Amino acid sequence: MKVEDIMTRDITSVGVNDTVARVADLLRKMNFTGVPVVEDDGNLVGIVTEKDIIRATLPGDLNELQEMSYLSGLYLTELRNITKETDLSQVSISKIMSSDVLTAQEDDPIEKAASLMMEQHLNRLPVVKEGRLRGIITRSDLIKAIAAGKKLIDKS
Amino acid sequence: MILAVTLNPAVDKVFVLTEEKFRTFNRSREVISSPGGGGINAAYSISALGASVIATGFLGGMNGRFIENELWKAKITTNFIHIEGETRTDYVILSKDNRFLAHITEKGPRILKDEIDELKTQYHRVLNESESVIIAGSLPLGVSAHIYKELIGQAKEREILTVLSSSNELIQEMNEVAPYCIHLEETKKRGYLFETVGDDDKKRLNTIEDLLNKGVQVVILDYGKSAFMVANKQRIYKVSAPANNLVNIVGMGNAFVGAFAHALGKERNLENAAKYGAAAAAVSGFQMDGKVRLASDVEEYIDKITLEEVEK
Repeated sequence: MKVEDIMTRDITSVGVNDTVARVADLLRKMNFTGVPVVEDDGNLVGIVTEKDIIRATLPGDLNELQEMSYLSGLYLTELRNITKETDLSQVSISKIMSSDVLTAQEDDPIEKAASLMMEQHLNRLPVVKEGRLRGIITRSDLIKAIAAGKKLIDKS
Repeated sequence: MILAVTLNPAVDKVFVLTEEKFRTFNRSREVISSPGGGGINAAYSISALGASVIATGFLGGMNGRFIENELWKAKITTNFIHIEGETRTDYVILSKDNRFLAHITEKGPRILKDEIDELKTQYHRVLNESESVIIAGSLPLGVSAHIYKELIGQAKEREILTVLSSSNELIQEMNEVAPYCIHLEETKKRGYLFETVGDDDKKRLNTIEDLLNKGVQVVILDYGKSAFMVANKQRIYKVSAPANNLVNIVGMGNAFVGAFAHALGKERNLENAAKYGAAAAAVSGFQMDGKVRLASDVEEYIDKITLEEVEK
């Protein structure tokens, strides 16, 4: 079974220059936990999640994050700069998104995508073709497939 | 990739009655719900024929969620703007022996300015990977016909083939921004359903000539019960499909448009595209939900299509 067999065929995305406020509203309307970020030409450049947005509005977290050795000082500086802004309609999503976005291809085996999501603790994986969004595969898609009796691992 | 724009989609609900009793209580023996709206009906044809299609427009509420889920099942990719309002419902009433009785439509939600702006942003982005664009169906509240000019204008700048399917009143506002192809539903304009509208070919030919003179390259005139006229500057054809025992005619015109646009984009052969369009329209008309789902159904009808050249 391939990714294209169970993925959600929706390419809703936000632009790299969209604001945090706008993206938060989109997540609310669509009941999403995250959304891909694209450039004007449609190429995928990042992903932004609920966690990214909530972190951006909670300066208290920064003190805890400061203790975590794997976070670079530069990242924390950026977050501090964002949280000084009280108006999230002035903050670009590019400042809080993850640029290092993992993706899947439509013809990838399901188990490859599912394993990647589990290893990297991802709730969603954008599906791309030549750098452009074709859909998204989420944990919910995997659960639906399992509940429908589909086998995630092809033993043939 | 074909981009199918539906600005005012609907959930199509088909009620099949157990018997016809007017001005009193009726039961339905069956209710079939499916996504509807011009671009969506075209998208079903395109997807059935194996081509990639992205459906966009405005969706909201539970009806919006239903539509998206159904489109995904049909392997149609979505990129809708999610609005605050609730997407409308269209009602088709059939008799117990599947005769068409009535079609009731809602106006739909009012679209807000920032939702329109968002559509334009997403449209601009998705155009990058589109070979053609179909804009079909009615305008929702809050959206003026000017949007047709903007969307078609953007596509034309990138030399993307554009198809507009709408009412004659809205198409008359196009003027200087002519799409490549226009589909005009005479059936709706006159309010007739299930009847071929007279033999007024002269008026139809005048309408076609008028549109071709405005810069449109291809005109599709849909005059009901599986009868179409398809024309470019060189030729005009009458094309028709079997029309006995049609069940749901509501989406036939846009089923034609979807298959026609797909075939035209592949070969630029008007005759072949017209045959595919008519075959898809027939398949749509014979389905309770009005949707084309299988390429084999369309292929089966190709040989039953009659194509006749008309003298100019």
